[in-house]
Amino acid sequence: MLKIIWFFAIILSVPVLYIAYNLIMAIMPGQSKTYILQPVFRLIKLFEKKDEGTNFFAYFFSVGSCLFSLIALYMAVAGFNFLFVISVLSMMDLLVITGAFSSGEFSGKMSAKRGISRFIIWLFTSIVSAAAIYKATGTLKLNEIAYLSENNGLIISLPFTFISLFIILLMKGNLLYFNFGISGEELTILGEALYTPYSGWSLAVVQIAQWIEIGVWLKILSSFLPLPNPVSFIIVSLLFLSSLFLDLFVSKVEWKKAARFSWGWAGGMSIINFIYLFYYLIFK
Amino acid sequence: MNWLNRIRMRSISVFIVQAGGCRDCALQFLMALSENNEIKGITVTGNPKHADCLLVCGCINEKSKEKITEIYEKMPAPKAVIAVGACACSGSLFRRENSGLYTVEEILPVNSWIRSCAPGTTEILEAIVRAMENVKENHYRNDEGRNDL
Repeated sequence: MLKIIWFFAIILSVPVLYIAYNLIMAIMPGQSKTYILQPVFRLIKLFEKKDEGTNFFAYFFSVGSCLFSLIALYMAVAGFNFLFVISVLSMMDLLVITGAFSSGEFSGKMSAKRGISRFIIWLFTSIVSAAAIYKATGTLKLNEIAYLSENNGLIISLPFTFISLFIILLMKGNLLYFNFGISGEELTILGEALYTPYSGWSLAVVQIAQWIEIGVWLKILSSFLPLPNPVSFIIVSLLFLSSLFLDLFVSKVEWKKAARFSWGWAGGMSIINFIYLFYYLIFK
Repeated sequence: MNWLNRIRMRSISVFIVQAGGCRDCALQFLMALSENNEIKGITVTGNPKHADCLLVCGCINEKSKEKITEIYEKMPAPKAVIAVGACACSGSLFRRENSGLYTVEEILPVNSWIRSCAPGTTEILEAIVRAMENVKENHYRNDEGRNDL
């Protein structure tokens, strides 16, 4: 029963975070205002729109990615092996990228290229992080990691791994310097979105898949804090919300620069933690 | 107005096309978005497949005509077209005999016109909302000729 509640709470958590963001922006003076429920309005609007594109595969790929994100969420909630969750999430990401590539359009191929470079970075980071977590805890099961962390605080022995996994979350949310220009909000032709072949309801499905994916990463990150699971989930969600606000003050960079930053912060941090643990275990 | 139409009006993605001219219409629109207006929920997108509303500014020549119709065809229905400024509505000063310029009305079914030069910031937002209010699920292709709204 608790797992079912977790499952639906995580699905709802990310839209709630975006709504909270709009709510705070509406209160803050001097900021551009929008409707508080605009993410939900946008989703309903997209479901109602007709997708007249000839790219039939976009529908298949969007539904497939949503399905895989739901499986990953179930695995994260049930406390499966961290690497299983990562493999299902990579399958989800690959489906979205393949859908973009299958459009045959120039912008679709270009955005698939960006998606692949992002995919390589986050997958590499996740694998190194998994190795570091295994070295520190001796297990990769998320429920066991959360249990160990509740008593010992995994963040103390794996601070850099936590940062690198948080950078993956920022990359997935297209925030700060880790925006690969695939959010669909760019004004230039060169900043076209990954979701180029997706429009109408297929875009809405991909949007839901992305929200669920962010929720899965929030759940994984919450396993690191030395607090009960719901409390640590709320704290990580608040960290994500604060980075949404921080994004307002951080200028956008070109996507190749974003990739370089991501290698340093996500890949570099996870490697530092792994090397530190390796030496610590050998020479202690 | 049904509830779907209401929701549609609360999240409008706009694609701007600057076909030619002084660019003031496009700048006025961006200024309108940065102000604290009563009209909210309008965002700019760089992807025609995400757009609900096409904002055409400036004089349209043969080359930009093709691009504009291409963009229009990529947009998912229901979609609205707005001719912004005197150049887009009538060709303004630049329209002469054999000048090769088109008005938006000649190439696409237009939902709203803003004829002033340069249009006011609030006028543009108002026109977008009105156009989305009356938008219908019609489809138009370049080779099928104009369709009636």
